[in-house]
Amino acid sequence: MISSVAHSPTSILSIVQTILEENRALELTSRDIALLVLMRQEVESGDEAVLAIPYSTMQALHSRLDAIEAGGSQNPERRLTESMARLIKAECAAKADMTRIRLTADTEYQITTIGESVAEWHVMQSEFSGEPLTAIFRSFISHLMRIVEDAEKAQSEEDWQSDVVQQMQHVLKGMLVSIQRHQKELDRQHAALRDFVPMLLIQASEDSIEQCESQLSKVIKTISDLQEVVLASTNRAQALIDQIGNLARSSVNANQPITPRGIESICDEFQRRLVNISLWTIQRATDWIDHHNVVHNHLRTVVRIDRQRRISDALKRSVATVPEWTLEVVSEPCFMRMREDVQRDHTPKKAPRVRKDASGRDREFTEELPDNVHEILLAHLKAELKDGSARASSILGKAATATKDEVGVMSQFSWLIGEMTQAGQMEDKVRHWTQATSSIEIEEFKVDAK
Amino acid sequence: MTIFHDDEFVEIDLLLRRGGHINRSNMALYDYMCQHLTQLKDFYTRYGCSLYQHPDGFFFATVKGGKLQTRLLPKSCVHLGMFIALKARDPEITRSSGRISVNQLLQDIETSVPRDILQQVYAPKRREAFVDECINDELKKALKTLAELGFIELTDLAIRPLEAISRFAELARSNNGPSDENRLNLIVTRGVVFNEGEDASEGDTDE
Repeated sequence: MISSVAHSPTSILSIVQTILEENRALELTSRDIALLVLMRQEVESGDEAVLAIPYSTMQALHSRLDAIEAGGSQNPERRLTESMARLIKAECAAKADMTRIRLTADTEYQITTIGESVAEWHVMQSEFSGEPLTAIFRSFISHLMRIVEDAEKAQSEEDWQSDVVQQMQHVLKGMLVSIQRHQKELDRQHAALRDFVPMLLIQASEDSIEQCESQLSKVIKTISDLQEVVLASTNRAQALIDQIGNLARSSVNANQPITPRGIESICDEFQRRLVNISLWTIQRATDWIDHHNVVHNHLRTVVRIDRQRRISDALKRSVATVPEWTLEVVSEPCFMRMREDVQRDHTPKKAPRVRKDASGRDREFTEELPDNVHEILLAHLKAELKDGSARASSILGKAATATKDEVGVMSQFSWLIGEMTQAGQMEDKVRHWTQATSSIEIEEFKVDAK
Repeated sequence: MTIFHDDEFVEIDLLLRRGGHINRSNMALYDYMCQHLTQLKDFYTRYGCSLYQHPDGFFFATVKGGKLQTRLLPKSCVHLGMFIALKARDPEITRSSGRISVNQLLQDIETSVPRDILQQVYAPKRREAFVDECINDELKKALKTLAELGFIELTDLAIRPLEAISRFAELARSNNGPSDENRLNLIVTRGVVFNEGEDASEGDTDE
């Protein structure tokens, strides 16, 4: 057994740096891994003293791969050489003879630790014993019960560390590996079953129906296994973990000044993993139940009744034409709402305002006259009448200067005429054109004081 | 003990009055129907309705000369219903636990039904340029109607045919050519209406 070596953070970082600098990679193809598995098996099955594998044996192992893999027999020598080159580069295999130059036929290879681990992992993954999930949990719970007993006896921090925390870590790792392997296998089985059942149903023979029914009965076992896990095992495991947590807390109160280190985090980790397993199990149980019901219904309502597929054929024909029949279904209007408080407001809506399109028009800006323009004009009129007579050109000119708005003031000419006729005596003879401002000329209008 | 105080009765009553079906997928209502079928039958008889349990298990109501309004399903719903009934009989449906993707269904119907039939059923009297769009819209509308009536379960991405979908296979059971006796039976007990050449698909009828 290889003992784990504790590295300080600095040395770990230097190792990481070296890996990155040297671009170390583990690039293997499926054939390389398969060859590794065969190499490991060759070493384990042979004489214990023999660790190296001669080239001739390698060729034999490689030819077994070719036999399994369809269409893989082209240029086997070259493929073996390439595989070995990749394995050596990835440090999964090494040349055993240590000499640099030798005939290829005389070369010997040996599998390295990393190569052995890769091969072992794949062998372990495929070793699904078919043990039900319940069995995995039963073993897990018995381990937990032993840990609870140890926790009850634990007196010191060391006892907690060695008898409880480390054991829990080990048990958790073991359980997770078993469960993951089981999950993968279960999913694979379900996918295979989903593919297999339609093939059986299409045949619709008595044999295939029986086969299908036997598959369904196996499915029921799987479902009950999954439900057992959800209903009983996870609850029991959670109760035991709670018990360990309580024991740890009570030991703090009794004779220990601090909580045993790591116990809370490992308990939390256990709980989290158990919740995940429960969720996964519930989901898979639902999937299996759904599938079981659908297949069962299909057998009962389609396959058993319409073995010759006459109804299906008739349906195929009928969807290729326009239906000449229909179904009459009840279509009662919804109940009226008679409550007063939900009566609709019947006030008619105002017609929406339509925005006029003003894009085609030129905008005109007009300046507003001052509010007191009439007062200004009247003031000038009175002032001029005091002197005896008043002329429109003079009044408008003065007002235009005061307001600085010639056009605006001139527009009040007609209003001014009205005021002037009321205030004075119109002089008819004066009708000549006169300059009111520098740019505007008006027909003169003169009144004399009354 | 009266059934009128039960919440289940209210739900069932509303479903039946809207032309719905009570399938096993709604176990609570289905169980209630099984328990109180006699009382419910008596109750709906007074409205001129007949309550039936189909040999496939589900419950539905038919109206003949009764006091409730009825309507005829449009051609599009009948055609799509028959197509889904056909898909539901395909063993491949077990692979996806009884569900069919909506996209797959639309694609299948377009590839397996002749285009002129699709046009006549889903886009009659439409200009050629809009036919594809109309067919697609009408198919989606028909899916929604079938879901409302309890023939299928509809989610955004998939449908699940329920037992009631087998109502669209009623004629196929007699090889699309029912005898006179069978025809009468379909009319009386299964709510089938034969068009007899006239286009009754779009109209609503009041009884």
